[in-house]
Amino acid sequence: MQIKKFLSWMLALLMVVSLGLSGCKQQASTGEPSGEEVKENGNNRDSGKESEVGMLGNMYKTGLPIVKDKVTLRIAARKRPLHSKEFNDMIVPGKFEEKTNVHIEWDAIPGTAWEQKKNLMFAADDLPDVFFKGLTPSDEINYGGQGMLIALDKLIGEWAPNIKNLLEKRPQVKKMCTTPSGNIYALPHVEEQVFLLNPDNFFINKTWLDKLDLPIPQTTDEFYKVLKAFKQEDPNGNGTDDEIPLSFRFGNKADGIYSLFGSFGLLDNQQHIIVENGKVVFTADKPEHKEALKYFYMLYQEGLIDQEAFTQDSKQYTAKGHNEPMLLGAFITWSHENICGTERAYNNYAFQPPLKGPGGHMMWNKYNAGVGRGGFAITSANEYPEITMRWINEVYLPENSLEWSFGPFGHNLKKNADGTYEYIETPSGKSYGEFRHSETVGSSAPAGLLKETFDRLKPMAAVKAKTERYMVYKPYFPEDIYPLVYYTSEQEQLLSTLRTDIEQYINKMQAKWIIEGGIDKDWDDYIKQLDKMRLKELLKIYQDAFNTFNKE
Amino acid sequence: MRGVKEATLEIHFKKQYRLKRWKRMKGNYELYLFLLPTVVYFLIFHYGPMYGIQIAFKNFIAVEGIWGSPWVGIDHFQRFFNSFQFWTLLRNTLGLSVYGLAAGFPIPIILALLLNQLSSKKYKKIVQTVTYAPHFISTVVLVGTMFVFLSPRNGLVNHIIELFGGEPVFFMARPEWFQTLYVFSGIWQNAGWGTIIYLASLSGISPDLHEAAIMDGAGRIQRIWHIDLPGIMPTAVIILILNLGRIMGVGFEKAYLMQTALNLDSSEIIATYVYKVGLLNAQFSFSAAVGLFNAVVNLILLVSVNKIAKTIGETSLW
Amino acid sequence: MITKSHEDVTFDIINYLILTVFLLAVLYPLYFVAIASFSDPNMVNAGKVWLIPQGITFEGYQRILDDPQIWIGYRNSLFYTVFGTALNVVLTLTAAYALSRKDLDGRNIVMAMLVFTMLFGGGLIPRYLVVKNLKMLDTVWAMLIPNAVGVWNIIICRTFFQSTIPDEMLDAAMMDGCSSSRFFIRIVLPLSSALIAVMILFYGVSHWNAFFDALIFLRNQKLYPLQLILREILIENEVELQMMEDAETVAAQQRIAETIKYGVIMVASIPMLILYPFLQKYFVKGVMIGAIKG
Repeated sequence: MQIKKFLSWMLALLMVVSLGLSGCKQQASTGEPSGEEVKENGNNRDSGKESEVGMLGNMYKTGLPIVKDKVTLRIAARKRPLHSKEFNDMIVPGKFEEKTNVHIEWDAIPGTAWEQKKNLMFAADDLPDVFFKGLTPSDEINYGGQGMLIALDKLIGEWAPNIKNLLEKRPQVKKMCTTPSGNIYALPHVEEQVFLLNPDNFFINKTWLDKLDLPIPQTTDEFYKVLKAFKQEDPNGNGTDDEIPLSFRFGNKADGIYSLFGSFGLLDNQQHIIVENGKVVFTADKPEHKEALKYFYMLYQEGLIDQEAFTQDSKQYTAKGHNEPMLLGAFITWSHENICGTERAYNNYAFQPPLKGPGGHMMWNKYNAGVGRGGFAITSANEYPEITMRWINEVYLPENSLEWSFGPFGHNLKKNADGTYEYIETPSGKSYGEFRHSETVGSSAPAGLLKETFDRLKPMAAVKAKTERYMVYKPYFPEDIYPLVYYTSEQEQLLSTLRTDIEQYINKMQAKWIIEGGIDKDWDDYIKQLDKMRLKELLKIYQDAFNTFNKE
Repeated sequence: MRGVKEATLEIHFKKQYRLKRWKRMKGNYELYLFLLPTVVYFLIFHYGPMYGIQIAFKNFIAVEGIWGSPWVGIDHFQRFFNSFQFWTLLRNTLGLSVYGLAAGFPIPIILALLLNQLSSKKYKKIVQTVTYAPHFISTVVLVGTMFVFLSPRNGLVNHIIELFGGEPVFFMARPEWFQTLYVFSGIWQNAGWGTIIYLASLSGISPDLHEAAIMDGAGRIQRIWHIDLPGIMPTAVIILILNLGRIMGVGFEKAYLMQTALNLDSSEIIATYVYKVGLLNAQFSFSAAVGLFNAVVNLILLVSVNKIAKTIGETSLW
Repeated sequence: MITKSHEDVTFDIINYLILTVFLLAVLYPLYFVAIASFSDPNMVNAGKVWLIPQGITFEGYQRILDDPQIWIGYRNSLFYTVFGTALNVVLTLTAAYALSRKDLDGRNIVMAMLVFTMLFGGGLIPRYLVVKNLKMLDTVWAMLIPNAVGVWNIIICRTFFQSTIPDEMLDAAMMDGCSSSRFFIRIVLPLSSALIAVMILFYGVSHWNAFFDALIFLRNQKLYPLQLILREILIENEVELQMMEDAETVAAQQRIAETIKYGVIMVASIPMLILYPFLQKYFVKGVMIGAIKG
């Protein structure tokens, strides 16, 4: 009895404690007084020594090194299993320290822990000086608004000509990284490789087509017939009906079927949002959408779609691609090399262009790629914002960006006499991913790589193939797509609930209709249900954010 | 007058009692020293942070800290209760944990009782060690392997079903299979581990009891029923009560990994939902509110189950 | 002494049968993990590996052997497990013994206080702040101190002491002028080998399997425990896939994960698999769980 009493008593006490002590704001901040004081000191010193020409305190206003006495910055960056060394033991960061006289203390956070740890660093006011990639737009809005990230606009103007130049050349990029308050809280990561625009690519088994004497299908109808032939005529010749005419990973951006909806007049994507004539349009309640799902149901019913398309992970998908004998007829993915191995990818598979639907539509999805937001941010804990900005300005210099992203010259890259660059071949026994990350931070570091730079970099075979692919789909891209926008924190909060509910529900229903059919019967209920889930509010948020974006 | 005298007497006794108690406490100072580090640990690491519960009633703003963030009352709770999926989530969560308990609780007991009866000590040791091993397989790998084993195309399980003339079942896509798969993969992984405590407690049963029973002509089953089972009953009851006190706390990771678009109807539980809505968007307050709700439900369950246990049996947590 | 009755023989047969079936049901997946660890991962994922390894390759083990991080993690995990468990066991036994003594005033309140924390906690942020304020962030202490005692285990130990140490023994010892600590060390501990074995097992395994505190409290990679490194390798990070620039990187990561994942389970489980049979022989005295009050 005593314990029960005690428990209820403790509970009551907790309520009182948490409800009663609301005014104790100071209490939390007394724990950490050092940050502001130190920063002030830093500023004093900076302004006090301005007499020295070309110097701002310890910092040289131009050129290298950046500082006279070594300065240390703490940078939080994603650590991947591909990084076999600590960042400071790598060539690129090492060389950079010598050049700039800025020492980096890396907070190398494992990728899976990133979100949690990042949130905790903000929540517990235990901030690094800099975040490298991986801040979400809502982080920028929330923490920027709260002053935990500092506005970069002025610093860019004064100390970062490379970045300023980049943003001037790409007004759209600048727009995408400017928050509604007009400030930039995080630099974008720019990597303008055209093939990033269409992550989902469609492949078809050319060997089988040839064997069955069929051309690459042009329409949804022909495609159906081809799949049917794949299914019935045992093109892999092992005597059993084990061919998988069409496989994908449902609900996935790169491996999914969102672009195939385009053949019926309306593309789809994970958010089910497109832009038509300057207006946000919801896709998943339109007749075109319904038609597409009926088509997929027909394929599924005839056993042409991989049953496991709705459950498989990328490992199972890859295993099917590598299977001996070949199993996959047509499939959708980012890179067929990953799914079925280089040799098979180039010998046996061909690009499948968008299919012409019954209404004559041909479309393929394009994404906001090549620009990643939240690439680089300076926190309020940073004592040297100017130095930091000069430092990142160096990173965004094209050649330095190449090194930070793809590895040092002389190891991963080569400079040619004519001003072009080349990749050095990956040593055998290593994957390109490992080779790339052996001497540089690579994909965990931001960069400013415009198309102009890539034009001077001779592509690897894989890149060449991807670019060809892009050329196939480019004519069918929609004119407008929903841009990278910012939401206010109120919008964000509502959005996270609505999106979870609605997108999940749509996913579930799409899968059900493809597998079991019954879309006509369910449709009215479905529309009603979406309404109940407050679809209108969701769309209003999307439209409002879109309007805000266009106003700037 | 008498009243006063009695009162003084009472005070006197009380004083003496207190004195005695004080003396006893002084005499036991070593025991308090034994207890001290643990109490200090709990004060610092568990009670100290309890002020954090208030963020469930606040809108947590990082720069303001926990104390400085503005109050929003029960907004987050309302948001959770009014969320479209609330009842589904509650049903799925409770369903999963009740099922898990109903199947997962007796199995280690049965296993321990059976193991205890093995005449070959060596075989007993082998079974124990082998069944304990899956405890070290990480959830990620466990779930990954499940997908391979249960594949409708080429999974072992479906091969066996087909061998016996059955139709292959698409396990990972069927909502009705989710709970069973979740629970039995859990049993596979943890039943052996769960027997440890029961085996340890069985070994404490005096051999005299068994010998006496044998003299009386009791068979094996009778002895299990009348000696072994009552012997481990107290342990089992406590474990059951404590498990019931955790019923809302179904972990997020395994359910999340087992989710597919097709089994969402039963695989979406509170923990996975909160992960999707809250954690990824740094909504600490929302997560805290849901956590507090769970804890309160657990507390209510714990207290009531304990009460029931007390009325019907002699073992209870308090 | 007595011939087995007919019923008993039947029971024995059925018992062996049931346990053998169960044994095989558990053994097969383990066997699968073992053969998968040196099979071609694509064969494994295509469901072709059942009884014998296919496409035999030792690349996975080669990688594990070559990866310094895994070995550093191994060393760290052993360190955390040994010292963490030692600390746990000492604190748990002493506290539980004190709480088991009927003549200790206030023990029910202390017990209630402990049990309360099984249900309510302040959440991640204040916990992080405590560790931060104690200057333990990014030190080995963060892996030992914040999990110094488990309530569940205190309940087990307390019940054990209450049921196995007779009051008369204590009274007699007290008569002879034996102090509590002396009694505990000289009499109680030697009688508790089964309990200590169980505690070492429970705490040891939980330290070995733990990764969350490391994920939250550590940033120096040289301090990472094995489980954190393994998790990092094994978990497919869906969030990251949103950025297509990283798709290639993620694919490369996955390929590595596939080659080593089963091997890594083998390597990572060995210490704990050795520990169990070793501790098992101490299970001669009963260990029970009982009421938290009384």
